[in-house]
Amino acid sequence: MVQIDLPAAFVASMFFLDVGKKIVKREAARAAGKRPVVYYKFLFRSVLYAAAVIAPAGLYLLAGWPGWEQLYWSERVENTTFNWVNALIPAAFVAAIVLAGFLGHILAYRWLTTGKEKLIRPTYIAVLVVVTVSVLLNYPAFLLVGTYQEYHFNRGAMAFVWENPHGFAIGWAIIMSYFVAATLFIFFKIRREVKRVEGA
Amino acid sequence: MLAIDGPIAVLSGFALAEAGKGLLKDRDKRGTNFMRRTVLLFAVFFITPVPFYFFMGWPAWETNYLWRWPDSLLDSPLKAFVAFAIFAFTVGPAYLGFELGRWLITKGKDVWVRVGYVGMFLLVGLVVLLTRDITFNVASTYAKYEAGEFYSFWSRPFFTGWLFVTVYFWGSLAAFYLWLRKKSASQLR
Repeated sequence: MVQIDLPAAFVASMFFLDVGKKIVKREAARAAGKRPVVYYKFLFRSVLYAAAVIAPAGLYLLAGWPGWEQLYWSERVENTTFNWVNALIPAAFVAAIVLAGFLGHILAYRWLTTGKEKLIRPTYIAVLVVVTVSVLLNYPAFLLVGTYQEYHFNRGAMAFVWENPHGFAIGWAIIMSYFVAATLFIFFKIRREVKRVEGA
Repeated sequence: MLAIDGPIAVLSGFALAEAGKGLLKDRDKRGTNFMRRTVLLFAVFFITPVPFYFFMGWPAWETNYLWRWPDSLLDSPLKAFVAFAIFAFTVGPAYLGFELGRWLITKGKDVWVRVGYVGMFLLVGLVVLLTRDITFNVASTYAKYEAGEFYSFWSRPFFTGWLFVTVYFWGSLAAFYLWLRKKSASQLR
């Protein structure tokens, strides 16, 4: 969902730095004011995660099931063909996800290296809570698959997500598997790096 | 146009490598790391959205009338994978172009990087020239292409959007190129 994807990129960047904070703090102290190699390493990871995992996953659902992906807030994303303004929405969505990931990294790195690391975890948890509440407030939009017109004027024509209407459940399961696998891969990779540093 | 998106992405990678050659020649790995992250950010922020824009707005023109399936990506778990394909098709060549440029620069063959991006520019021009009939005559969908419902490249709303994303991409490439050249020059001093 658009409402989740943008904050997710921001949260993921913060989370990755939170998991690897021991390495980052140590390298930052050694770099004496300059940006250490680890800064770029984590930035690369966060931007690549936003661009290769969250953005294509979001675009996949936006391209296939545009109404559901943005909880039927706007009809514009369902009518992108031959409309230069509407066609810009998915393009702007990609750029916004990457920007959110970038900002999450910049902010968390600054906090980590200026003694404000205690702010990182409460910030991303608060963002997650706000996102969850904002999605739940749109009940039952996230349970129904169809078009903007159907959701607002003819809900009887819609189907529940678990009924696999228009192949939705298959697409969603593929995307979520990819998302979870990629997230766990990065999480364990950072954990391994931290353990290696601790053991050295 | 899908036919020129790849070469333009490679061109970007070459151009950015050339602009940041002072950073790439630096023995300290920090310069190379900085360049790699910059190229990745540039690719995902300024290249990827452009083909996706055309895919959503003018799918048949973007694929230059090769296939019918891009007319609608709706309700298909398979066709929606175009989102991943576009990412791979833009970031991959840009990064490849950059790494090739970096390798040439570290070997002292800087001039070949310039030859590389000028060559890509000429290739793009050649592709546009050879496909001018289907480039400057636009049908938004394959169905309209089959029905012969074309309109001019220069007409609205197509040209408005094209101009917007073209300025977005080439303007950003020029800004990044100049910024990296400046940063690179200060590194060399």
